[in-house]
Amino acid sequence: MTSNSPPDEKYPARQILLADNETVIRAIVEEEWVPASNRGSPSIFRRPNTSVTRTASIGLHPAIATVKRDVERPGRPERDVKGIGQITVSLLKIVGKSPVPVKKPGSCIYLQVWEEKVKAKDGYPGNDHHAEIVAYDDDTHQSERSSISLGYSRMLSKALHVYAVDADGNVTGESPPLDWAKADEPQ
Amino acid sequence: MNTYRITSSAAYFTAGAVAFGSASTSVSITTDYNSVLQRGYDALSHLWTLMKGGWVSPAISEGQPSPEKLIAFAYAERRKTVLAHPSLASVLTMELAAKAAYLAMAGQKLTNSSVARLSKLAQSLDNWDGEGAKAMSLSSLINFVGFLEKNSEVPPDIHIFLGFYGEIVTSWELEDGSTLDMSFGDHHIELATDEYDEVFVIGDNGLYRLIAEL
Repeated sequence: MTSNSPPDEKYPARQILLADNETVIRAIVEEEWVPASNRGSPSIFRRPNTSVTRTASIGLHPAIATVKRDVERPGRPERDVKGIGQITVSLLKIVGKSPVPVKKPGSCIYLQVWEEKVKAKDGYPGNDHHAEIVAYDDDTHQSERSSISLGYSRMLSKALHVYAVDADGNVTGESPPLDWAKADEPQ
Repeated sequence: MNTYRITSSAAYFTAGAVAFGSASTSVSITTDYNSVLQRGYDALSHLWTLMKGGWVSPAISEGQPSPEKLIAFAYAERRKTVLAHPSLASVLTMELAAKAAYLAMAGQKLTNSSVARLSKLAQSLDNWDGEGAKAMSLSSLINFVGFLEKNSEVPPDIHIFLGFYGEIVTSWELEDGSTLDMSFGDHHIELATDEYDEVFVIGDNGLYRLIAEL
């Protein structure tokens, strides 16, 4: 998730693509959380652009702290981060290009993850590790999709490795990908 | 005996500049309580407070107003609102009353924990995710409750979420162990399984035919 601040002017939006081997995390707030199974809602990828945080240079736990800091701003206690979904850029792309559902395959989605640093503003810190998942209609990546279908969103949600976190950001449980567990392994 | 018929069409839930959209819910309510209008608002406020505090299921709470009373009250309030050319404040009050009534109806179909979850989600405010996600819309709730009324195959204990656009998202396990996910928006209901990814306009009975096959 992101700060509400605009992107840092030193790093204009959508100039740098993340490499396929990069890992990103996404906050899962209470409205999207299943505590019994440590999983997120099937709809968490339906929005046009999904904010994520890169873990490569800072590691998972500092990245979790960053996400919680950005989402759970003082005065907004309702934004409790209950879980963190982790996925590689390559797996995002693999899932998007999979022709599903089985009985009536629709158009694939072409996902890219753009670096989109967020600068500090109004007393809130920025996030140099912020990025955005953007969905396109085809592999030329010219035409953005306005939303992602429930079917694709649920597949992406199932592909997440999910960590349950407590109020302090400590990992209290985890759930491996429900599908696609082997799709991201080196061939 | 008072008899009310509530058809949750766009006409009923449009007031002033606010349109709550269309829905297919059609509910006939028959009640023999005469004190609905007198007690209605206080009872509704009390119930709402209980829901906020402890997520009490109104359907099982002794001494609490019945869902029939709440719905009858919501209908009566709506009539009064229309007659009085409502201000925005009165529209919002109506939305709150209608949400409470539909939550009470959902309580007749779902377990305490599921309806408690739904009640809690109904109170999430705009921007609940910090990225501009919308609060639950009334028409999403109406469409979800309408679906529950028409489909007896929905298990009472299901996972319920709020979607980015204010839609209600549900998930439950099918007999073969796979999951059926659904999204109830203002104008459409979406369904996704391992084999299907379908969008239905509100009122399309193809949704129910497909679910019967799953």
